[in-house]
Amino acid sequence: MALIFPYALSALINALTSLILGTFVVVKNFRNKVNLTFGLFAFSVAFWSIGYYLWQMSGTSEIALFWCRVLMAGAIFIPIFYFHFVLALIGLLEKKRLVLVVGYVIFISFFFLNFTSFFVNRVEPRLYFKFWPLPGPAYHGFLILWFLYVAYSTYLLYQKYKNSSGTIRQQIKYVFLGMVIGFAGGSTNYLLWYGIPIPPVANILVSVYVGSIAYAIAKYRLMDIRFFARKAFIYFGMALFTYLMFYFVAWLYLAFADGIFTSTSYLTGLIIAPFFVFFFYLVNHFLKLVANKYFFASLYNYQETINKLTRELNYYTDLNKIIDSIVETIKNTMQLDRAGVLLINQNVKPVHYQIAKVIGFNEHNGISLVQDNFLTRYLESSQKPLVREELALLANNATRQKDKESFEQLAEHMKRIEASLCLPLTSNTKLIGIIVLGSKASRDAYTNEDLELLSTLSLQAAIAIDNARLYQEVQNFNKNLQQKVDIQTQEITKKNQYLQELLKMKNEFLNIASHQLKTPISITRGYLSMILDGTIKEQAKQQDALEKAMGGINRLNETVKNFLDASDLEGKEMELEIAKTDILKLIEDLIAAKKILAENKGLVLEFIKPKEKIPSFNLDGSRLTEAISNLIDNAIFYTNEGKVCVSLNVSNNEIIISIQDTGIGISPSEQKNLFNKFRRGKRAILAKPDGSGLGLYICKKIVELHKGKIVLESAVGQGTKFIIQLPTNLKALK
Amino acid sequence: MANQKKVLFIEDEPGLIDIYHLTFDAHGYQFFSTADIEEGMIIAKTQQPDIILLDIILPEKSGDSVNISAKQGLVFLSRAKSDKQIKDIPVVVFTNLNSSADRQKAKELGAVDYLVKADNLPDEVFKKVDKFLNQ
Repeated sequence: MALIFPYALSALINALTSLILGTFVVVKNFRNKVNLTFGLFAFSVAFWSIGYYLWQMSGTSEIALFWCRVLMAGAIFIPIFYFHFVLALIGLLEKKRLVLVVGYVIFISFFFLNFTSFFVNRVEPRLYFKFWPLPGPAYHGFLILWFLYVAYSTYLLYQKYKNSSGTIRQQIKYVFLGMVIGFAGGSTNYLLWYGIPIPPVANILVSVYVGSIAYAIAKYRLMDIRFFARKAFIYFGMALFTYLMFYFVAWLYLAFADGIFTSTSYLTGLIIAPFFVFFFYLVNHFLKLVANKYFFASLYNYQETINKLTRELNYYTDLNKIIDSIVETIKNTMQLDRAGVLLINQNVKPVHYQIAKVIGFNEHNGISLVQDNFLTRYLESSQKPLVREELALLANNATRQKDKESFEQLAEHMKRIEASLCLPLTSNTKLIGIIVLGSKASRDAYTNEDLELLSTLSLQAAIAIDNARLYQEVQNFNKNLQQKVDIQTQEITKKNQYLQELLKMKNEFLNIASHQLKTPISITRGYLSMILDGTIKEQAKQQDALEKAMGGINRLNETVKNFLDASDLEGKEMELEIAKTDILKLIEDLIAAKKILAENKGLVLEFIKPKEKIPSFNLDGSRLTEAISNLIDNAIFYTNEGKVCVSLNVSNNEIIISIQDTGIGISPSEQKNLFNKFRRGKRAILAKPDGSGLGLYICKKIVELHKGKIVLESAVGQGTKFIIQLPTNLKALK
Repeated sequence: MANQKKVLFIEDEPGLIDIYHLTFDAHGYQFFSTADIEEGMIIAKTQQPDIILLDIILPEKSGDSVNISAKQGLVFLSRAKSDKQIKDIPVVVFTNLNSSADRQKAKELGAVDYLVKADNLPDEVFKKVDKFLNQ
């Protein structure tokens, strides 16, 4: 009994581990063929092991034979379920369907033979086993087929291991190792059947496959049961702790307190109970840590990920850094192939997304998805992650045809850019952007826990992005302000420069002006002093000198008048005094006044009046008189014979006044600068040496203040024609 | 009249030319005048006057048009002072400009005196010139 106890125990352990693992896997997802077939396999192992245990514990040969047949009922199905599981795991179900069906037919046939003596013939003592089973005639064939299916399945696993890569390769590796060791251990049972005196010492190794597959589940997410496994681990861990504590306390009472219901026991219990609770929480926490570490080592620690990101987001104010941090954190903790953040450009309608940062996405086919209004509306209203796999379901549930099509289109878009998940970034219920994620490197689907984590993260991220944007806006505002100040400073500097130039021009003007005034004074003083001091003695010469002195005084008078006008017109715009003016009468009066001047030179002064009656216009009569008077004076002065002809016409909203003479004319090069101040024609100086050089300058200024134009047509010896064009619609100026 | 003094009067104002012609004639000076600085340079070189009276505002011809406010006198002064043949002839600036900048400029260019036309009667001008030449 003592010798066989380890075998019974190994069977019990095998049964329990297989039962637990098989249950987990099936409960997690019984629709998945991999999970289901693994479950069947594990249950068949468990069934065999339970039979094994009961066989070992049997007291009579009849009972032992019965349990032998029971255990074989489990063992018969192990290879075919194993084969089925392997096909599902490596995706060969379709291809190897025939071998599978044939296998089922064979092993089911053996199952029916199992309860006849053809299969398990009888039990006999072998070594230290009292009831060891012996094979019937059918058993030999069964054993060959059993090994064939196990070997073939294991070979397929090995092939898959060689041809795959990444996580899949690791998963297969641990399944393969677990199975090889497990089957090798289990096979030691068959030796004694054929009289080979080796006990099934390696039977316990059957459990290795459970551990190995559990490891693949935890570390490489085989069959995606890690959350369930984690919970189970903690649950059973606590159960074990409680169990141990119970026996520990019971032992304490028995050893030191002579029983449970003594007064010492009650007092001890008061001390033990709080300790127990204290340790309970401690162990619970420890188990959670261990579970997280081993089941989610490559995954993430929920709380810590959020805390870390929140800290980082609080730390940064720069939008780019925040987005970097979000993308990096999500991509790394979830182990994704691609991740990106797209932000809505708030200034553009309709909704337009801009890439803030993407890793792994091909940008060429990435933009079209996110200009999707439907997506925007959906995310804004649902405020939940949108999973591509769920879009088909959403499309089916959609009540409106349009929504259905939109969902389908969206699924297609997401597929094209290889996005698996869209997370809304919302601030004040308004969508400010989206996080777009690709698939996990493991190709697993997103779990609910993932989505919960991502929702929390995206909430944090949205707040941080919104804050960063506001911060950026404030900064931009400051920058703009500074720019504006700079521009205005520049403008002020420019204005200052301009004013200084203006001041310089004014000084220069005054300097020249005083020179022009002093010249006639010098002449007058010169002649008069020569008469007075006796330099000029003769009567006739004195008369001549006096006339010249008088000429100086006249010129002084004229120059003063011109300067006052010019300085009026020089600086700030001179203000006209606009009033209804009878232009016809104005010119008639001028002609009358200039008649004598013309006649003295033997010239005809003519005025051609307009044919129609003309109304009064808005004009500055006094300034205009000055301008026309200047032009008539010039015409008379520079004409030696012939006539001066003034004409007035009104047409097309224009008043046209022309002053034409038959004088010396002005050459084209003289015309160029004629309207500038202190500019005179070369021959004009010969004809009238003491002109101020301001007359035409003043005329032009006056006409321009009326928003009019002054032009001149002339050629040397052909006379000159000045034409003034004034608008008729001039409003009273400010 | 081997000792007859020569004065070159560079001026564009006919009235003033007339006045100073009469004045210097009356005191036995030989009087030359021109309104053109090119002509002025030629007269100065050929006649080697004892003194030059120089107006500053002299018309500048550019093509057929004339800037009557140009300070051609200063151009003449700087050219005269850099010409070996005439640089030693004293030049008295005789003008109606009276700004300190103009006085400064004339002094820098080498004028020996600066007389303002309106403030000096012909006789006073002559006396200053004559006194200067007899020092």
